[in-house]
Amino acid sequence: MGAYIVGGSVVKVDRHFEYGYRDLAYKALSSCEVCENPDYVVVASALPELMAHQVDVGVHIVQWTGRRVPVVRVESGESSGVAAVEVASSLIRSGAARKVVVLGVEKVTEYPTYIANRMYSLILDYEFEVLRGVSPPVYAALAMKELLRDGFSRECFSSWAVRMHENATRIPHAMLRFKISVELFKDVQVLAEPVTLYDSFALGDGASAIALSSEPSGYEVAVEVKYSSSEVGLPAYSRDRVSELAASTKLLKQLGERFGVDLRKVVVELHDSYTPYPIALLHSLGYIDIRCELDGLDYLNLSGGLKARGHPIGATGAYQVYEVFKLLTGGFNGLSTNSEVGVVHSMSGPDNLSRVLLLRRWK
Amino acid sequence: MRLSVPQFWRVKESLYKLILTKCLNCGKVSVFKRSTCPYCGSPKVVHEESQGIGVIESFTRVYYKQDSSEDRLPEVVAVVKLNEGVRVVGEVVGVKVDEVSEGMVVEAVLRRYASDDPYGVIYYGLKFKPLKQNNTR
Amino acid sequence: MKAGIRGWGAYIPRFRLSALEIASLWGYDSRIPKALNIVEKSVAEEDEDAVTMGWYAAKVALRRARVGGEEIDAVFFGTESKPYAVKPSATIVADALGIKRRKLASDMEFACRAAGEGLRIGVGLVGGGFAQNVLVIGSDTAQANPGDLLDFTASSGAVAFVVGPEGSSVASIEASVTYVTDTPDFWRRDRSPYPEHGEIFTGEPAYFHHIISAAKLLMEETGLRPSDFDYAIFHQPNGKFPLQVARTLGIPQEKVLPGLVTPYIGNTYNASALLGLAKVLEEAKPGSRILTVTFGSGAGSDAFSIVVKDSIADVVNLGPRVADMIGYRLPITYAEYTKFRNLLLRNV
Repeated sequence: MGAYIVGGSVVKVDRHFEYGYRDLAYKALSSCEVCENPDYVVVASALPELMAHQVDVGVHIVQWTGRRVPVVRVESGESSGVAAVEVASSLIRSGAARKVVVLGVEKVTEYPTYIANRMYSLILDYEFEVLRGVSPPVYAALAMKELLRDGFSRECFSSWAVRMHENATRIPHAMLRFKISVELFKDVQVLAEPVTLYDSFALGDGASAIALSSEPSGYEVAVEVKYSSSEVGLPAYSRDRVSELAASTKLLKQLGERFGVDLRKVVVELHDSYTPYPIALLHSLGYIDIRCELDGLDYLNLSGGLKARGHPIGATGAYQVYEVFKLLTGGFNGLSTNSEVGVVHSMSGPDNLSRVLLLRRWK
Repeated sequence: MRLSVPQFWRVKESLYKLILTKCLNCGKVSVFKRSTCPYCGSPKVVHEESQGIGVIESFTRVYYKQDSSEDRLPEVVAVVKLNEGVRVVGEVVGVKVDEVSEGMVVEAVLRRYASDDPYGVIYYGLKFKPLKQNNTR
Repeated sequence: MKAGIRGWGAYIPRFRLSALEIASLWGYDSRIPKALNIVEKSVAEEDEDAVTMGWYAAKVALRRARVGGEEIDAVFFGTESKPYAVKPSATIVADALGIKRRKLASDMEFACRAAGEGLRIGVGLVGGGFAQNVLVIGSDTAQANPGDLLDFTASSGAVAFVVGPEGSSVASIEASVTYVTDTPDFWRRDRSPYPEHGEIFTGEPAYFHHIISAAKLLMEETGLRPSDFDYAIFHQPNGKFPLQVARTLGIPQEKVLPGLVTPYIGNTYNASALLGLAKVLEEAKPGSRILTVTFGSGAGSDAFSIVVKDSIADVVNLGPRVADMIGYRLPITYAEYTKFRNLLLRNV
């Protein structure tokens, strides 16, 4: 039995001080026409215990909607969203449910940024990394330094961000919808040198609903979750190179080997939490060399990526799936593609864990 | 009380000392006291304490604010290759941030990691300081 | 004479605050530093405290003594800047150095002479056959009310000794004596961040009376005369007092200068005289006799007569030297000093 995405919705990634976890979830759910009457709800969220002092957020979201449906909350750091879609499609493929709604939801603005930064840094090993002063920007910086030593230019990373911002101008729900230029990088705030604020994802609140069904024929559009896979990597400090994203490389290579997937020809969303990561990945997959030419990858991160569409941490994966779903089934805002196949790549921390989904348009 | 007492007490051997885990199955050495090899998963491991001397392979100057860390920023975090051949990440102290360089020889020193002021517990752990004690400048 | 020093170690933070900078900020005339014979003082970083510095000094002491954690029977930590008012620093250092559980351990307080008392107790434990090796640490991040005269000299540092049987030592402690009264010259109430002191009262009735009394008692009891000593090291709250004491005792300045470290690093409180001793041990020729007299406010002094043995040559280079640490310096501004030592009132 297959699992098919038949619709969804997103809330603009932003600082939604007026909405809490359940308000955002409800907003996403009620904007999704095909999301009614699910057998099961899978909530993807990484920070509710820390941000909102709420354990078991799935239950509290579902109770709030008044439709008391079975629910489970999935947490897998930054890859929670894709993990939730994996779980949802498993429920359907196994016959345990006929219709499942994935609700990615995250609040990051209940506290000032410097506190949110601390909560987010806990995706790393508290005892062996966080206490020792290591934070995610540190690994991104070490990775960027390795790539610079390999011969990549600083402009290569800046141009990734420029491209993401350009793409996001066409995405209504993106957080940062303005263009930037490579020159701006000279003066922008440094997080961990040489990684700057512009090399880092945009942090915002968000919610996205995705409806999955075992019966695509009853719907106007449908995209099959053809394949899902995940892999756990080594802690970054145990690798020879921090920028060796072995888990992500392996999974994306497998898509090529098993399904003939060529990232130049399909819709693809890569997890660009920091600019060195997608560059390292594309390089290890052989799509670019140190000249960093991204031409030919026409459908790469059309959403604007984590950089410009934004990164509501645990909800991001759901956004990525929604965007690929839309791009495969008519697009948005005049933006469409010729591809029938889409790839979603998600990562937790510096490739501590990687997840990929292969999506194919069914109708 | 913000910082846990039992959590710290339980791992403090790995914070107070640089314990290396050597795998008898695949031969690889990793850092921190582990029950299994992070590379091959085998439980056949032995532990030994590192001398704590190494070389900075790579580093970054950090300005990223978390909690109220401005009293410690800017700081330098480095990947140190210990003489035993294993890599470990940690903060570099006893330096101005623009003095750190790749190839610098460092030794592990005990410093405060965190303190739950004003009433709570203090966490101590190892950071890295230049080994040389005499000025060449 | 049954105990001796088997090893020693020290730690002096690298950062220095100049006395002229302090004078300039707080409205002292620029001749004051010279009057105190102080050039600059050592400043510990934000993540350092008496425990972290004491750990380093102790680690080096164990290395010089060539003993492992299994061989230490007691750990005494002398300090007046304990990170915890209640919870021993000695056990944190002991654990971090892998010292065995079957041991004595405690923190001692007697202003600047707590570590001196620790040495005296070490001599007693070893001499009485109750311990083979005793680790004594003196470590302080010295406090002073900002802008007070004390601010010129209150600095950070640590020193440590392993006291063991005379036969296995590199320097014998041939005699020691302690002289203690109740003299409130300098104190710190439990909720006060900075000490108070009696200014001129800390001189004659306190520092001079106790150091001279202890030194004289030592000489009476041993029959030694000032001329029998090759070095004289005194507690050094500034760079002047030790020279005045030496004059009173009839000891020439050249014997005092090698152990006078305060002008370059300030007064490290519990590490003060003993850091001077560590430095001299690194320079003195075998056969040298060293007079060391501590002073702690409240008040009291320990006087030691230490004789350097041939075997010291084997261990001097097993660790960083005090003279090198004094020279390994990086100046900071008063603003950086307030940040390092957390002197500014902040919402945290």
